[in-house]
Amino acid sequence: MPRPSLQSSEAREALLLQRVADGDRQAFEELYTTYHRRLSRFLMRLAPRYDFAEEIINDTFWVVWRKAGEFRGASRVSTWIMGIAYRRALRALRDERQIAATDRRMSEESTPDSEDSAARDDLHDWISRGLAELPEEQRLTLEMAYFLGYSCEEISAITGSPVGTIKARMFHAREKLRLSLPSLGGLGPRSPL
Amino acid sequence: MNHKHAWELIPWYVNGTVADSKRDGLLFHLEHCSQCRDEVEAQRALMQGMKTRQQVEVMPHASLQKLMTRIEADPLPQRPAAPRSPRTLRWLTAAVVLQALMLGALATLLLRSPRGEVQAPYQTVSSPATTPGAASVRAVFSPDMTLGELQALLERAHLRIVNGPTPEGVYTLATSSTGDDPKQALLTLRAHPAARFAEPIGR
Repeated sequence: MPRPSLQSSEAREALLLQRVADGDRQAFEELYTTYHRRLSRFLMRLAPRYDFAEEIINDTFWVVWRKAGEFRGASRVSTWIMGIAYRRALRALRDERQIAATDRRMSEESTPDSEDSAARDDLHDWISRGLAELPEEQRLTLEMAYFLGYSCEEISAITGSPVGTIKARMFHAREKLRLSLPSLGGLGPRSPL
Repeated sequence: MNHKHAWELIPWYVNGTVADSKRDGLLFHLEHCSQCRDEVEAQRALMQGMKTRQQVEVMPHASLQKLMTRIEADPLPQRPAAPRSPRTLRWLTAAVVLQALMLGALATLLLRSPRGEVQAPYQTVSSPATTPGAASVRAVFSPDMTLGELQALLERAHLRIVNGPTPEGVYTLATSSTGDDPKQALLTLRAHPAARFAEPIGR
């Protein structure tokens, strides 16, 4: 792991976390504020409701507060925090999907679905729809790569999955989007291999 | 680089995180492969589409308050304290006795003196901190210093960070435990080439 100089945000966050481990509430609030914007923007992409994002952020930082003393610097602070958030988000997304599936079944029984509603939506909506159809791990991989800008190795560290698994998730995510996006709007390129 | 490998690297090339060692090989492949070039454009469009969506900015204050309420309602289990040596325990006992004596003396002084005439004791730069373990030093370090070097120095000086770094890089430090001597800590700090400034906090 590269040695961060004191000027880097990495070093600043490591120092803040040390103070959090000592029970310093001011350092905790500083760390929370640092991550809130990034996490809330990321999480609200997954479910566009602030209560969803807030619950995951606060659960994440609840763990940070309680486990800061156990952080041994084996990874970056950001990797550690994003890893906690990832596991919370994955669980919450699965719960959300179950609820959504139940709601959909109920609404299908009462109202017929409009087949051409997708055509009225703009670019972002059909990208969102394509992403929403991906399995949770594939979607989170794509979001972490394209929205948060993490490398394959960083995503591997955050998720605790081997690099080969991340590559496979990305590959399958692209394949699925290729199948779903053209029918929704026409972005998808030709078949890859 | 073969087509399959290049295809696999495209998302990481698009998000700017592909390793330098692989970039040249990928760029060479892209020059000759229209299918991969199309995929680069498609993935770029997807990434832009994901990034440009309007986001509602939410201020963290209310959420933080909720979390702090939850933390206050469920305090941490006692964190295990570092084992203290018999010498430290003797110092702690002495500190408690000294503190009690000082409080008694202060009470007497307050009872005897007319309001407003209590004089603060004169402190020199070399005076030890009256409250061991409280913030006693302000310091600035070279920005080139690494986190590991700072941690090693603070450990050697028996200091811990209680505040900072501020945007200007100022740290507020305190002795790690009540038995530690702030004067000695200051000398240890000043002896380090990366310490640009280390001064006791005026009391």
